[in-house]
Amino acid sequence: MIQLDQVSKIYGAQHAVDALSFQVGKGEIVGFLGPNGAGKSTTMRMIMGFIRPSKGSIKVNGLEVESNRQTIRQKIGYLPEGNPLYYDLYVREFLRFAASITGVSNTRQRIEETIHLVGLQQEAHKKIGQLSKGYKQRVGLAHALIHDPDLLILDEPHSGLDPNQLVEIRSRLREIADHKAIILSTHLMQEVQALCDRVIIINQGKLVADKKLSELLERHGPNLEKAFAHYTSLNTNTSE
Amino acid sequence: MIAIYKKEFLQFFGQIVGYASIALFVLLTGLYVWVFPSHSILERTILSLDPFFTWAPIFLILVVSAATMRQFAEESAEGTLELLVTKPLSSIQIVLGKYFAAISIVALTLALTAITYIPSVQALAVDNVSLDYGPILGAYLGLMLLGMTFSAVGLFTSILLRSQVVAFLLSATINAMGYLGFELISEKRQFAGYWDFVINGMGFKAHYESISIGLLDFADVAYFMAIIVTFLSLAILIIARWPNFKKL
Repeated sequence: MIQLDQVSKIYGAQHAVDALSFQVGKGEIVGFLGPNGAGKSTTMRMIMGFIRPSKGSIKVNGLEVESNRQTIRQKIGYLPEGNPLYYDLYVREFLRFAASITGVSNTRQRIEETIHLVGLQQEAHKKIGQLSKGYKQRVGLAHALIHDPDLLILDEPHSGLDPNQLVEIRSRLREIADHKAIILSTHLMQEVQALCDRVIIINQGKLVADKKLSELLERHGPNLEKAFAHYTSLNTNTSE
Repeated sequence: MIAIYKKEFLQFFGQIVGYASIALFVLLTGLYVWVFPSHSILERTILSLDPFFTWAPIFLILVVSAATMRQFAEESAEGTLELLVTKPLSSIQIVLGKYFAAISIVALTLALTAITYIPSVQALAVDNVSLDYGPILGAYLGLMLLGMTFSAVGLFTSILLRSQVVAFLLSATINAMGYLGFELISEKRQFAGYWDFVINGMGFKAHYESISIGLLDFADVAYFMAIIVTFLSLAILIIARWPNFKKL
């Protein structure tokens, strides 16, 4: 579904992303991990066609992102870092807007389905600015899901959530995961352990690990933190 | 594009600044039309809306700058521009959706004054004297063209900046310079003779006044259209290069 081949993003002398290659297929939930500044958001933005790679190729469903941005964006649901939203719009107004630009046909029905899917029923009559952080996060998720995309790219969907909200968002993601590919960037290792089948770790823009979650846990103990610390403190010239 | 248009419209009227800027326009023009003795039509013997058409362009700059200041500056500061440019939309659709929303706000503001001022002034007539509707129609058309030009400039300045306040000030300054600046410069005695005419003709005001007297000249319309297309094209080019374009 997604294929990155030797993708680099260079800012001046700095390699924000350095010759990164991986693939993600349908039905996979992939934890995309790395320390701050490792290049996770840059990679996600390149998949979305928001930033152009300096080198390499990115394909979604076999189509080059660079030359098929509009088509590809119809297939992707994207939750950017920081969950930017229009706070002065009502929840349904915002979802109607998102539905209409992504070409959803049965708008009214789809909005209600998505509101139900992310558990926003009690708050859907409010302006987005009036919602708590957890509900804002659900609005962001609803916006990414409104057109029932094949691929979901979620950049830190858990940031700022309390433990109860984490459990809620986790269960919503599980519900929708069956027929989609999901790339999930987060610093919360317990969420990766609870949700993901596979883990990709990058450090200083380079791929340092691309393994099944079970394999990592088997090798580095029951907590993913140890595996994360192991790979992100490695010399980045050698990926495993 | 229609989705962006609707969103912009909803957002403008979802904030107090939207209603306040239109109310301020009606209030300020109302003061000149009815209250200030040196301009009030109640103090005049000629039936016309001249005080309104003289002052409306100045106050229109405020409404338009308030409507356009947030269009890109706010999206950029709040991060929502990333939402917009990662949607299946072209930069043309994004810019034009926002532009048409801005000029609809201008049209709505002008329509509000038309439905209140024209019947009120007509009601003042004695001996069945009728308003001369030709120049009034021409002046409203001129105001609309000015509003469209101000909107294109305002939208462009909003792309350049992250701060809405600075975007408002820059838009108001450029538009005020475009409207009044050339006329003021042309009045310098050094330009008397030939250059005063040329310099004055470069500003918005000369073309607005030409249309306002009821003469719809293609050259005047083309002048406004050229400015509008230039600023919108620059805006489209910048959005197409986003986020590589560095904001001020």
